[in-house]
Amino acid sequence: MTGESAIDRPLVAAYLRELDLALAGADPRERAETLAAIEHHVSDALAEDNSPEATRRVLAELGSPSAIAGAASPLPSPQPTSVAPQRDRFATGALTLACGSIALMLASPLVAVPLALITIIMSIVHVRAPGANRRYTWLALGLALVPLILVAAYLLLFFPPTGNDINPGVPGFGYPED
Amino acid sequence: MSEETEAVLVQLRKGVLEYCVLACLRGGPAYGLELAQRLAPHRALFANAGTLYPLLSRLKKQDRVETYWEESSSGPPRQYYRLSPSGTRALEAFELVWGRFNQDVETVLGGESV
Repeated sequence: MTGESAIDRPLVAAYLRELDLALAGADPRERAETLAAIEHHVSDALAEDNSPEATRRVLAELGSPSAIAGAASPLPSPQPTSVAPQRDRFATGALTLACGSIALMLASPLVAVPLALITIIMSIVHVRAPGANRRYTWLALGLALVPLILVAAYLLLFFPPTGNDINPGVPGFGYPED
Repeated sequence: MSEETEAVLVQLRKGVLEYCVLACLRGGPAYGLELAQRLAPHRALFANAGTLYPLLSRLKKQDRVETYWEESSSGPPRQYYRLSPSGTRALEAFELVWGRFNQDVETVLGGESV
């Protein structure tokens, strides 16, 4: 086939390789269609005369591969969706507070428990906010639960509820008996 | 042609060339080389034949041109481009504003109303 013999010429093959490289940053569909269309253009143009002179003239008329690539649409730049949530200072702050409340558990439980409660409330409110780093916020919420669970476990262990404590039927509860 | 005039032409072609390609297809479908030959005499508008093809790919993606294959008597089948209904509407819109646009540019460049 005449078209194939034209494409097989080293000059044309080198031109197409250079064009393919130049189009590396272009929209993939445009890149493939442009390459195929230029191959057809060259085949058609050299159908009657595929001498080296004619080949050089046809390639010169097409223009440089970089000029062709310059007319192609560039690849769409990736959206920074994964970067924005990581810059969520609120979630980072909640995480710090949660860690702080765990660290303060032994030294000062009276500070640690309210801190953990504040962190939980903040995290619940924030987790659905647009742009929130949900992974960090859920982590902060989970960590803030740790001091509360430990305090609850401590209270249950050392001050177990007795029958008297919860029995409202004890006569004269809280009042001196007659 | 100086570097500066070439830079101006590159900018101007960006907004105009696609409509000129559509206008060239108004006379009937054409394959790539044929379309390049129709545009070739207009050097200010169309410097490199190769730049036609990324443009045709975009026009196809925008549904302004349609393509089909047809057997050729002198070689492999050829891909033909033809104007789509959406392309015809786009071309009509361009023609509607081009006259006014051109007139305004000439008036401003001539310094008549500035």
